[in-house]
Amino acid sequence: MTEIEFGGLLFGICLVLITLRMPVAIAMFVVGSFGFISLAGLQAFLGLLNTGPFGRVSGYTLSVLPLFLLMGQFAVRAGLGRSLFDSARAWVGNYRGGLAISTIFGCAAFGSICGSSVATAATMGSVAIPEMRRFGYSDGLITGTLAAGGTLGILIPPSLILVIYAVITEQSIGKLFLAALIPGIIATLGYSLTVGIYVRLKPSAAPLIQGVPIQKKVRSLVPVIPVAAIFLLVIGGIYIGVFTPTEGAAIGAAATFLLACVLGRLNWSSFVTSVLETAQATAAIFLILIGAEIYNGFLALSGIPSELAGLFEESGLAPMSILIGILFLYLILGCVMDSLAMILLTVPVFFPLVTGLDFGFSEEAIAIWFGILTLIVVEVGLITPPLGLNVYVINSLAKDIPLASSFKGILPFLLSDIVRIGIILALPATCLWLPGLA
Amino acid sequence: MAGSNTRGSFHDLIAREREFGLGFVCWNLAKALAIAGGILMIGIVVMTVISVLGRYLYNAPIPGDYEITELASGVAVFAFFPYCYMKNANIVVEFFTGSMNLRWKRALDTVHHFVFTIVAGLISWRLYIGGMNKLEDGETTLFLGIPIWIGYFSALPGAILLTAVCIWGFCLHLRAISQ
Amino acid sequence: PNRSSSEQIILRLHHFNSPKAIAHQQFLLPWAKEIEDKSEGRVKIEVFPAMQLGGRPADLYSQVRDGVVDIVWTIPGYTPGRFPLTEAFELPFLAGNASTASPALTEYYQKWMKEEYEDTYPLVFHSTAPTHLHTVVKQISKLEDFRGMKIRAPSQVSAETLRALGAVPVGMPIPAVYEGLARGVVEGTAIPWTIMRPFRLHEVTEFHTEVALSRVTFVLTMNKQSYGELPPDIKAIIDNSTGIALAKRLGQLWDDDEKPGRTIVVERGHPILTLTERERQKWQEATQPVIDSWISKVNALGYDGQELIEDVKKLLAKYDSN
Ligand code: NA
Ligand code: NA
Repeated sequence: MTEIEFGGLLFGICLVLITLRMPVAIAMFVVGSFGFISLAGLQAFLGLLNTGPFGRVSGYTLSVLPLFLLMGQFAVRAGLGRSLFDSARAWVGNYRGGLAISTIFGCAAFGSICGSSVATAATMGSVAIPEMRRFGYSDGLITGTLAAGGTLGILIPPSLILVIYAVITEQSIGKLFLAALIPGIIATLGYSLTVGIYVRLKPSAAPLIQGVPIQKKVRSLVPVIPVAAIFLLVIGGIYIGVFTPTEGAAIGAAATFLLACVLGRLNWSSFVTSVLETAQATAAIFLILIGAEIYNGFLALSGIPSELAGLFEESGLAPMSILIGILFLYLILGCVMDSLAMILLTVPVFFPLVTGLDFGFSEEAIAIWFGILTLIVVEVGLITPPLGLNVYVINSLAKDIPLASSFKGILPFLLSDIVRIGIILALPATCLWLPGLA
Repeated sequence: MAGSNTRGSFHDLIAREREFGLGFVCWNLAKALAIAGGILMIGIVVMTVISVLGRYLYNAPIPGDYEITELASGVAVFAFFPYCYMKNANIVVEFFTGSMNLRWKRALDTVHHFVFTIVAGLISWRLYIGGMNKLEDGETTLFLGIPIWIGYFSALPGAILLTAVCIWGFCLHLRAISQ
Repeated sequence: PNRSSSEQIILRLHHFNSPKAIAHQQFLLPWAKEIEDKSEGRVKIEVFPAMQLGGRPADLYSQVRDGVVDIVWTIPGYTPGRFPLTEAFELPFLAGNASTASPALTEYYQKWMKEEYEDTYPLVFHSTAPTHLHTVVKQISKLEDFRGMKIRAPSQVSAETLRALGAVPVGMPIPAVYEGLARGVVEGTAIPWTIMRPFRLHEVTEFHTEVALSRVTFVLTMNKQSYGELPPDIKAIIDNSTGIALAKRLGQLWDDDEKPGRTIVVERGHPILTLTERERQKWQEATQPVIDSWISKVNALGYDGQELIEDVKKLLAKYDSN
């Protein structure tokens, strides 16, 4: 067996272990260890473990993850989900499907200070589900809107997935955040448009509700102001370079903490809850990162990334066909795989391949463009059946809605995702213009 | 992504057992350690805000703030691992096994938890060796000269407690399938 | 080392630089090829750039010692406290460019540092040309200009040096320096010209002061057991392709790479200042405490710091005439 075949075999075994519900981190760690030991020996492997795991968790750039998680937690405790939803509702609630569109806008606003998709889906779900039910929205529209809206949590910066992409590909977190902004806005508008078309075709899904007077509309904007201020402070500050992403996240966490205190929504027990929720999510992410470190070491040893790149080079396929092929593969993988695991398993293989292709712009630009495309297909994976984490989260909040109708409700939003991928493929400037690379 | 997963019977097992006896001890130790790690994170937040303000207002950042952040966040993450385990929040894909009968699921979980225990033990052991090496080598951080072994050894309680709760979790499953 | 079925010896070389860097393209890959050719294919050296096999740059030395890989190329300064004697070459205002310092450092290793590197088998030491000051808003022409300036420092010794000069040293990884300079997180950096182009620092700095402040040193070193297990003739091939002869070549390589970095700045019309002799005197006096504290540090370890510094100067003079 060649080292390439061996690598492919172990990749397959890793997938099998994951589907047999071995924790993703442990599956990557075990398979990576086995591969590393086979190719480099036990002594080499044990030596790698001396410094590898602690080195992985004590890096400066990655310390941004727990800080963004903390910031998101404080935003949840501060009850910002409710305020943002109410505000959006005051403005667009009276249109047909208005509550669903309000939910999308609320998700986008909440996502602008929360880096996690699941936290966004869960927060907005607990706020919006009861409202939409009260006004007789259909099951599919409720779960579809929330699961899709929740993905705005990672699409709109800050975004944990983008941070991890930036770290493994050595790109600037600030530029990637900025690059994600326009695609994030396109996504928000796309989802809203989807709701609009859906309720036009199927008016029974969303009964009309009464509008609110203008004074109330204006007053509803008040809670939006601090959120916008924090977003500008953190994302603006990171991009302008007033501080590093880690510093920005720390400042954002401090600002949302203060906001929660000022709003009187933080006491000792909710503070401890925020910390523990952060601890839990941080540990889950970093355990996978440790597993991926070992796995990727093995991958490099096996020479798979460079062999595969050579293979594609010889194939004579057009760069765009190769890119579309990779994105298609991601969409398929995203149906059954966890998003983080997917990025950590495949980006080390595909990244050198894609940045080596000739698209007519600089390598850094390709890296950023590919990063945003990867982010979007990973995000789509969060809502595609059979494994769609966001759909599960929403379903756990609305237990009486059957999973099948939830996934059915997702379909129109999936369509909008596919259209958006097409737009960004055709117009790289949507990503590259803001960071100034186009 | 992280923070939640699709939970099955297995979740119930740990959730149920952490209310009594040994499980109760594991659960509270893990929680205490996670809160300690959280306090460390809050410390990073406070230090960073002061350092950034100091940098712009008085041209005086806290010296070595980057390296303090590195070591402290490394220690904090290790302190979070046992809690994540006790909450059964490590990411698991449970789609294909969803319809599997309980006995088979428990059997699979028992194997996984055995492997998890080995991995945790291995990481703890090598963390200790790595820390000893750093101690002998006298390696320090760049600006403040903080010995690196302090970071390694401060992370050790997290790794050891993770191994301990893994052993507990494994025994739990072993008992469940043998019944 | 690994042996495949054809009894070919495979050695793995791990380093932190990008696959496009001069070290990877013009030093490590050609050197690997040289060993492969000289051994008529019995040895193959696989080079893994950019920490592909895992870990952080600061862990490279541990990796080669612990046998994770067979060879690493790393910066001893990444692990402060680990190699105190090596720091002698980073002390402020030592004379000599890369072609002088590289063989001098390699010989200094053979004379003094065997113990410091006893847990691996060093093949060659080398260094970049001395570091100069590159600043954004104002030219540094006299000692007072340093006061309160945030300047990125590459190592512990250079950080102490900058502090002694009155600056506020800031530690950040080199890939972050471009943005740091552009946005004012740091106001200047101390680097040799060779770093200028790959990190595009000429775009974000305006003023340059050639001072030969300090330097960055590198080591290519091998796992002891991996070396010990090689057949005698292969050992000889490796020994003959490293050491002082290679150090001279590497010094030349890095010295030659200074010119393009300097040229690009000249073409952009940036002022490049050379210190007056009087000013240099003042800077040297200001940084004397750095040297003194290094001397007392190694004295405490049982060496004669003063003697070591004298020898460093002698070695630099020796290779300067070559
Ligand atoms: Na976000
Ligand atoms: Na999916």
